[in-house]
Amino acid sequence: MIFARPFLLYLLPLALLPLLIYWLLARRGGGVAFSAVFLVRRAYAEGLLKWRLRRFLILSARCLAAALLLAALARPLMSVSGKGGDGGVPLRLAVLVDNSYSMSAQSAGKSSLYIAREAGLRILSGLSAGDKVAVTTMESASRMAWSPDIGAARTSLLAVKEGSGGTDYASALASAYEFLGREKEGRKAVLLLTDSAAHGLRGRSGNWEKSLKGYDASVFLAAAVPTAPAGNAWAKDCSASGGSLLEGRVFSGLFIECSAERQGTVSPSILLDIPGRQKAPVALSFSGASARASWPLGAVSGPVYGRAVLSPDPLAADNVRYFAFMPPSPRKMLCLYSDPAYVRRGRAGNFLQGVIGAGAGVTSISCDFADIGAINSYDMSRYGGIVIGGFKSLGQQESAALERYVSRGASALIIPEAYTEAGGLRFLERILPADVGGLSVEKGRLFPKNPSQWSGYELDKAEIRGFLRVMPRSGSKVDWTIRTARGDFPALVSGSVGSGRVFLWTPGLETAWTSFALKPVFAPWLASLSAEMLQTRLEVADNSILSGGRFSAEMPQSVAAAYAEVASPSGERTRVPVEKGRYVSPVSEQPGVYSVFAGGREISRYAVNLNPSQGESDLSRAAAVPWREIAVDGKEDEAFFGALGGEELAPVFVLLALLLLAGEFWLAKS
Amino acid sequence: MKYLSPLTVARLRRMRKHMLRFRSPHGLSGPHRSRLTGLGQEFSQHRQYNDGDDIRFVDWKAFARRDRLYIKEFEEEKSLRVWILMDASASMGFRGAAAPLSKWEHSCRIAMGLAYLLSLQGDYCGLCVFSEDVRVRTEPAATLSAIAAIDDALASVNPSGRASLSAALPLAMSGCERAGAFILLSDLLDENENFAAAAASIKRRGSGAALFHVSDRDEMELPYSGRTLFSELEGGAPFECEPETLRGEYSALMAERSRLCQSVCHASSIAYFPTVTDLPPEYALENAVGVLSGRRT
Repeated sequence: MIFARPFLLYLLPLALLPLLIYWLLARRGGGVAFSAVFLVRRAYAEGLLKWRLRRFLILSARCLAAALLLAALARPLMSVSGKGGDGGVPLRLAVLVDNSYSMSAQSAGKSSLYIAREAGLRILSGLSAGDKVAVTTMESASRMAWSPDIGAARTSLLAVKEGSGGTDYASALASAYEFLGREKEGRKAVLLLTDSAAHGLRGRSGNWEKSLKGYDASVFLAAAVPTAPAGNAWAKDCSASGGSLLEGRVFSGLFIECSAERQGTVSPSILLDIPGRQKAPVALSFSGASARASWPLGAVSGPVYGRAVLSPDPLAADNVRYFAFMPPSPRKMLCLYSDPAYVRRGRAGNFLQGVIGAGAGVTSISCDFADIGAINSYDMSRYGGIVIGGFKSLGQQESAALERYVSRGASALIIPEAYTEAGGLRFLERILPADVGGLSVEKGRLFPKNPSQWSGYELDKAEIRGFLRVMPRSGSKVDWTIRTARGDFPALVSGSVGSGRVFLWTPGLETAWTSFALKPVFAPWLASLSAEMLQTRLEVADNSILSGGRFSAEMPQSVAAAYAEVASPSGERTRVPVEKGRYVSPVSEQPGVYSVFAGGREISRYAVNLNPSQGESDLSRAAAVPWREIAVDGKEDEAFFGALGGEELAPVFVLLALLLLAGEFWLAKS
Repeated sequence: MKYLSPLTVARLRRMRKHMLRFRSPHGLSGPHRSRLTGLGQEFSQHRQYNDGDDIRFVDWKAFARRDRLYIKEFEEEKSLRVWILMDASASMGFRGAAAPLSKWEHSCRIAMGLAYLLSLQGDYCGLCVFSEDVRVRTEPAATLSAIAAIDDALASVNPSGRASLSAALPLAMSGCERAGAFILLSDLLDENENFAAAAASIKRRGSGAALFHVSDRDEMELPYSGRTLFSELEGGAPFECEPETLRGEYSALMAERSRLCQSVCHASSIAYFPTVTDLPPEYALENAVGVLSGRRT
């Protein structure tokens, strides 16, 4: 006989409680002056043996009943001599090996997987010739198959390595039940080699196993569970913030922040490892189970990649968090107009093309020119700013699209001209930074808010002959003014709309009203205004994916290649095709920083990390599990086969205890 | 009187028509008409004169009418001398928790009732109180003043000393001259268990006898619980035990003793009346009168 919960046998001394209670409660009566003491004495002498025997029987029955009930709590099982299970009935055993990365946790220099695997081998050594066994990892349980022989099963078990996936007991068990359900004969059993981690249950509680497809209550379910390490800490996430793109691909004032979590009382430190910029380890200050650390990097040129590393603990796999932050590609501007003649020579659009048009080369900014009627057909997210000019009136549809676009964080420059109709901006009233008045035909000069910046550009030669009279709204900013004989009028008014901005240039750019576009100041003015418009929405791209995922990105326009090569951290290169300007990496399992090459140069990097949401790093044991735990103590085979072949003796023990109590009751009353 | 209340007297007077008779090895004795002709006052029958008959008993009136000599015969009336023997050992002083009277008081009431009944039917009633030795003795008399004397004698006695019926009873009976019957009241708690010898001594006297076996309910059932220290009323070492554990054996012993006494009495022609102190003494009296008067068996 063996006990499923042998530790409860330590409670057996409590079975002596009836004796203690008997002696404590033996009441001491008073004295009695009696007339027939000689008869009492004689009765005592005659019944002494019988009385003592009865008392012995009663107390023995009580103690034995208590001992049986306590032993029943320890779940006694009828052991089977010899191996091979249920008295010669062949065994059908499905072995599910948990190779999630929590199984790589080290304990006494050995990983949990190693210890569980050794236990599994000992159990396999107890199988008989007529038994059948299937060995597979939990994640591939759906492809379970019988091993040709026990030797092959041992080989399969030895071949299992630590993986980077998670644990899902339910799906693995469902597959095992389904697999065993196809067997018509034999004693069926499932053996889990796992750390019995709580995250594997995924919040399930109660008798969840009964709801599994193919569940069979007669299947014996056991698990060999190695001892769990005391605690573990893991790097959870890394992010970059605070950076801004000055010119090209330069980060300025970038911060990298990493978060970590822990289970137990470990107190790790963390260091940031960027090639050429390794930072000293800092001790993490945990608030509850989580902690954060951040590092200012200053100006960083190009992609930022590296890793955050926690100090060693039982589970090393989750101590590293890789990152690859990429500067965003500089976005273009889009110039929309309604009059096709707007871009002809001598017209305002033509002046704009001369400064910010593609290939103009005057600034690093490029601008596409298009008809405003097609505003909804453009991928507006590609453009950092929009210039609206050459229109008589803006329709409701265009105005609504522009409003949506600006409110999401982009900038718009609206340039009314002399031919813009009265009320042509009425659909834009909600986003304009000023209330629009009528046209004003009078001479004036331009004056900037910061004259020193524009000294030497002969502003006095830029003549203004007409403009749109506006009244700046509250919160709007006037950077340029028109000084006329009647006074100063706003020339450039700007205001915020949502997270974007709207600029209004009141004198226009057509030569009918101004010679501004013909003067030397025009090019720097436009470059400066464009740069200001593009300052918004510069976000650092986080090129990170989770292990087992694929990385996908656009091929840079500057690179014309039919394929790209992805280099893993171990140096292995994989070629992937480029389709419709995009490439998709192969499945990336190994955590680390991967490089992507195309056209003979590196075009990108991405980081692959373990999925922390699987909870594998939390090594806490599940509180209630549906399987019978086999202690990993070198005698797993005895425990497993004992439990497998053993009948539950607890009901027998309880019945015996009840019979004893009934006998005790009868003896006490008789 | 201490042991004879007016209520008891009233009940006893209703029983006076029933004459108490005691069965002895020689037949019944008591205040009844003798089947033998004697010197009594009540005419019995005529018979023909035979030679040698006393001519004083010739019925001359019948001779005148019939010219034949007839002898008048009369029934003889006898008065009985009854001795009430009272066991006054210390055990008779026991009174259980539920009993209204001690065994001694209970016995005294029965004795007084019997004495009163006997005096009503003209019998002589004497008292002998004994324990280890004879402690009080009153000579038989058939008057109410004798009843009062018996009551006084009983009131003067306090139960004490050890009892040994086999030794004390012959001693008590030895002073009882011309006894017609003995009435013994005792709890029969003789450690020597020699009641058979006592009964034999009664039988040897050839008189009628009746035994009132007085018991207390607590003596019969031993209702105590927990560890109890029993001290002997008649002296002796105390004894500690758990009564509930030996109640069965004790009750069996008590029942066996009662059966033994009953069988010994039956063999010795002694009327046996068991009585318990939690019942009124009048019950025992009524029962005894019923049996002794022949109305009940």
